[in-house]
Amino acid sequence: MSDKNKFVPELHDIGKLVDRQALNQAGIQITGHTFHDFDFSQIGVSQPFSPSWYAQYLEKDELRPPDKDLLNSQEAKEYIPDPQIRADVLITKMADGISAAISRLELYGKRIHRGQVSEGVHKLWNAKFYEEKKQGGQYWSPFTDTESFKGMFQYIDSCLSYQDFFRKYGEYLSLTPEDKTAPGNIVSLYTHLELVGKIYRTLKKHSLLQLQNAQNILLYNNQPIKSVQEASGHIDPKEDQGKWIFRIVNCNIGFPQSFSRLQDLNVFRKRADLIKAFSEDENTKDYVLFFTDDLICLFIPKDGEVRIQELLDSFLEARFIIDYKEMEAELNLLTSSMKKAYEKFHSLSTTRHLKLYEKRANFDFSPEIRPHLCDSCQMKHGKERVKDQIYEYLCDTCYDIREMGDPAREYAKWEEKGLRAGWMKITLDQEQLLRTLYRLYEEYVDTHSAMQSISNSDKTVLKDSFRPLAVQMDFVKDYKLLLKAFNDQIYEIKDKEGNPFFIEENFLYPIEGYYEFGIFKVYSGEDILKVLDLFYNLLKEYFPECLKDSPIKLSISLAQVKYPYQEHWRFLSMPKNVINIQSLGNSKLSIDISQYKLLREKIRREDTKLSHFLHRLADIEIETKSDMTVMLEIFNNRKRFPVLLELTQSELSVNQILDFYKLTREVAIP
Amino acid sequence: MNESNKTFLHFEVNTEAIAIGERIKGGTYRPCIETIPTSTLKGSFRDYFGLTDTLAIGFFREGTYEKDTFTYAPFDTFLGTAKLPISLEYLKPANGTKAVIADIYAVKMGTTEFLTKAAPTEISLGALKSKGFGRCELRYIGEVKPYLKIGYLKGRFIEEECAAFGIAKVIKPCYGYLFYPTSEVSGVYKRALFEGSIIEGPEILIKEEYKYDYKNIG
Repeated sequence: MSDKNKFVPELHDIGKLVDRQALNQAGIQITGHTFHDFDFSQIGVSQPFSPSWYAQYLEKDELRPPDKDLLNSQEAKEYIPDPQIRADVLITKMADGISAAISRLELYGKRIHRGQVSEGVHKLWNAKFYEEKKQGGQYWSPFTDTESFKGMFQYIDSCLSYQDFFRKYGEYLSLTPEDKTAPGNIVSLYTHLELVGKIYRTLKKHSLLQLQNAQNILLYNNQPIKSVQEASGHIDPKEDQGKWIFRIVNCNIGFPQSFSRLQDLNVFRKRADLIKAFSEDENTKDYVLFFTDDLICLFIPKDGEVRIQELLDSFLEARFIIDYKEMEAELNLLTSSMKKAYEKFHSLSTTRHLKLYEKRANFDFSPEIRPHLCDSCQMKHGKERVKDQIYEYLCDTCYDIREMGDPAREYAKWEEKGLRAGWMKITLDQEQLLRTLYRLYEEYVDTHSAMQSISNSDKTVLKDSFRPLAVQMDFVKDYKLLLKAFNDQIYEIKDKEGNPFFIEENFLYPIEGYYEFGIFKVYSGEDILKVLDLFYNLLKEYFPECLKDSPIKLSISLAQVKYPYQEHWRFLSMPKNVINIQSLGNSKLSIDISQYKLLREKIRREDTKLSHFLHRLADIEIETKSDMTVMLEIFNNRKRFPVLLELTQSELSVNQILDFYKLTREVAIP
Repeated sequence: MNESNKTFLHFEVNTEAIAIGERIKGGTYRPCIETIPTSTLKGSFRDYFGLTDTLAIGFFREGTYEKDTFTYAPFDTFLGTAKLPISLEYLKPANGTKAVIADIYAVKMGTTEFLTKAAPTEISLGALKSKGFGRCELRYIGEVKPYLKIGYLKGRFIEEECAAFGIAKVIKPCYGYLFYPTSEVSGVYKRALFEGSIIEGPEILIKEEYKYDYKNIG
């Protein structure tokens, strides 16, 4: 098929970018967001004719039911004469269903009342997002008058690729919700269409349109189907089974190397390069739904069609270890909230197909290795390597990583007496992200004014129908924006004289483009506070609605410059709370954002009397092991230190308060 | 739930400080692990009781220990000089407890029963014995016939020892390597199952139950 005749599934929702109200006011009669029944004489253009146009018929009444034969029925043939385009429309409809953030209950005969209609996307973690964009002069719709509206139809015929569509309308797609009716307005149309496109191309790649007994069928894994429901199954797990089994796989890309030299940090660059190559490769890019610096989320066919071990071969060749959670299910049962969905599914009595596996993709491990074992990865035989009169045993993989270059070269020159280094890592906890998204969505359904008129039973159904995948993708995009903003703004912080507080020489990003990880010089608590404040401010800016259970976490490990890198990394890779700080041999602190805010407001760094008192309390706590005794002491001194009573009532322990004071006080850290 | 086909002898060790090192060479920081691998116990039982074929694994009891660091400068006897100081991570009794306690399970077989008669006794485990680390009191608790359970392995042992430990299935192997002596002065590294592997095996080896699906791979 030439590009001119290409079917672009992303265009099926282009009508959602039309400002119907504005066009109605201009005298153009429009109903719904599809234009299969539109009277084109109103605007003096003819109906488009490209393959992509036919996706408009997805919403045609006769073709809407999920059990409708979209390949052979009279109606389908009448509206969409070309069988290949009918197959494309059918696959688009399947992809659309999987990509929806809230199950398309109405299609399956459930009558549910939804909330109010609003124009912009409602980000669950940043409710004011659209309002602020609008105040900044942006608007969700590019089609607000007759001329631009005409242009949309011309574009349906002239668009050659989804990349062009996203380039041309990306800004609007990011502001427009997938569904303007609450609570469906929580995903941007951009992300929804990205997902539809990827899933469409994967379904198409692994299926075949065939003519059998004068009937068109779509064949995947020897399973012929003609309708959405036949492939995907009913949306209700207790109803009809679907024939097509696919997988969503969350792959954590880990590595066995330990860091004993700065060059060992090159493993991050190697991983980033591989993830980038995999997500851009023509053969694999559509499998990748989203990725972060250490995770790839895939949508792939059954094991017999695509084997993980082969698919991720480039990572395994490079000796990365891939721990993955794999949900294998009928299309309509697939979701990214794997454990939650699995538990719910198994509480029902149903014979439908939904499996959840935890696996590891390993490279080849030899049953036995003769000494020496590689000092870094400890997974292969190590050859003797000598550098600067130091003997080490390294396998070829680890040696190659060392030879990739000198990251954080400046770090080796940090030799000031008493100087400490702060190793910093920002982490997105995917498990926590799912919990937070469920909490935010349920709160939105239960309490938002747009949902006021909805009955409790409908609210319950809507909450049960949440599919977080697209929302998760949107969140990850904002997370990447936060990381980039952190990277930019860290160098914009000014000291009292108005000079930059951090410069590229004292706040390093060892791996270019890897913004989760930085190293900075620490002279006093002020350096730490600057980093914490920037993190807090950005969290507040990008994710104001999930400060209390933020899945984005910051860890800082402080020690002398020569402190073993691996030990920094061990702490950084296991964040317990939203803010985590350790200072070697001094203190260890894990607090949430509200505790941070309170400590930041109440603890004055110059208050030495408070410090003495906190030390005394810590001693009492150790000696008596009695919270009551400590509280009594605080109560007895409430007039001298009223702030302590307030802090301890906010579930902060004396040790946490003391540690925060020690870590952030003005004087140089001992 | 099925019973394991293995019987284990349950021992308890008490110590004031112990360092069982993670095998990281080249650095000046030696982290310690929170389990006692088969290779460590095999060496100790051989040294103290002359037993060469014992199969045992140990786990430090949660709440009885916390980590601390000990720094020392090893002496190079050949050059007669001190080397770079090394920081060793070790376990010491948690705040409010008197000793670090570990549970040790030895597979019951002819020779291991000797241990039940030898206990209570003193043995040493782990690193820096010359500095007083790893002195333990070994006490016999009793025989255990555990049930089989599917879950995450909480220790580490050589893969070849799976059958001897009564492992019915290895569902997700997390591999690493453990040293296996082949003579007084030499040995090889053998492929081993590490913490986090998913197995079906005696419940005493399981940290947390695995509740999802699996395909038989081993």
